[in-house]
Amino acid sequence: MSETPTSAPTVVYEIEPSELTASGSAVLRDLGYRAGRLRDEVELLNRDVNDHHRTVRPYDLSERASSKARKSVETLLDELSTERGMAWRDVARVAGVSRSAVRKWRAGDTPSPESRTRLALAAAFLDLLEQFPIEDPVGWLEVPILPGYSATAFDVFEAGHLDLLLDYAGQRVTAIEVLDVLDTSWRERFSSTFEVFTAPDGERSIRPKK
Amino acid sequence: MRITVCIPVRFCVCWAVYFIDAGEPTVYQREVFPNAPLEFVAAEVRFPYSPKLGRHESFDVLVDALRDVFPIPDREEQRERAVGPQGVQAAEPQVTYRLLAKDRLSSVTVGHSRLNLEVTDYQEYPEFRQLIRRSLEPLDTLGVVVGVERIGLRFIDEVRVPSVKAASDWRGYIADEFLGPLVLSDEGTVENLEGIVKMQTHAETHLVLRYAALDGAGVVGGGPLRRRKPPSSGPFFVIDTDSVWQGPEIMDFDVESVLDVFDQLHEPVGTIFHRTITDRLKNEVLRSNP
Repeated sequence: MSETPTSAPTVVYEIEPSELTASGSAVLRDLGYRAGRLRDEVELLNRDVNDHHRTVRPYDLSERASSKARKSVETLLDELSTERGMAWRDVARVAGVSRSAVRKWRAGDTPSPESRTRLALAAAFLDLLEQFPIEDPVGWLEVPILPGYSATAFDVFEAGHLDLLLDYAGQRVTAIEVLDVLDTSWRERFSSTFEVFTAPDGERSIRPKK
Repeated sequence: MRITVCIPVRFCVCWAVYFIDAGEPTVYQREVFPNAPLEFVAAEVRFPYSPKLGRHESFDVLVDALRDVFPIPDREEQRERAVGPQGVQAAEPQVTYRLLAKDRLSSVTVGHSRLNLEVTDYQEYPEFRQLIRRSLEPLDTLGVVVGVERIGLRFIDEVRVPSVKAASDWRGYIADEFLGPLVLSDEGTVENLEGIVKMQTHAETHLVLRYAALDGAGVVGGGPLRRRKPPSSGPFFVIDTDSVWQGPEIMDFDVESVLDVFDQLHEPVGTIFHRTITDRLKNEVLRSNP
């Protein structure tokens, strides 16, 4: 049965949501009781869309990574460091190797297939982040995701939670939900002496706590 | 002249308070129910837009001041979307900061134009009032709030009775005055029933009562706070009381003055709740062990 009323001139009966206390609260699931059933249907549909999205997204990332993997190691390293601004220590982290290994690659050595795949995956992931849009994907990865704690999106990437990180970039999960997945003891493990602040240039940066 | 007499009527959980005001006795029986249906309480103070209030530096002050009560910080972005002839359009995201208690049963949220204290395990008003005070005092210290536009106090009850399977089964548990349209049950099956009452309680305060017979997991939940107990499914009756002050002019921001307003807003809420429910609901459900 349709929830929409029979056609009629616009008549406002209900108290506008903005007139209610805590109307914008993330805790209240349903302010419009009349839309309850319709909202349930929308939530179900939304859930289906999200499930589909989560199913499709890894394929998208995988396809992008495959495309990146066709490039030479030199091109991949150049893309990550020069174009994206990734520090060599972080290139080593995404590849799962030491910095000396990366130095050898730059000198002409050939990485293992696994390392090459990881480099390609990192390059593809950074491309995906730009679509959210995140203007500086590497910078975004490096800044702590929760004030007062040192855990960064890079830590989440390194732990292999790429899908979760994409949900976080798309603001479908909160920072705390991400950290809960990363490490249930994050409050102790990542307690930081640094704090996140907005620098004069408008970018989020870190500094020692006062 | 006003006389207050407290008489213990029932052991430890129930007392009756008689206010004798100018010879006009008004009985208000207040009771703390073991199986109370109260799922959400929010206190909100809205201010004129304060750019500094949403900044990280202000949030740091709140974090330090409330660390013993709300030690977990979180950052939220709320995006509003408008649907119009051009389709869905997104507005600029509004950043708010939320401080959570470790048990995630309470939090305080601060944005550019409002502060919200929200709890899902409300016990007593004096305790909640003290939390409001603790939340407001850092703002006073910051000096970034120039005045108060609106103060609201909202209580949301979700009444559940195991024997209720349909809207018509609420008879006997909810006061008949709020079930009037059930007389139409002869014409068909009533699936949902809702009502809204807005009334003026003082010169600058009003109260909005929304009530509804619904079905599902409840109207509270799905956010950063967790409920006291896992939500169940099935029919429930919502009693949503929003008591609000909104003056013709912006009030100066002063913690004690704001708390006085909250006291005034709290006054009618208990009476409204008791008048919505029946003694049968109290005896069979609310006074039973959860």
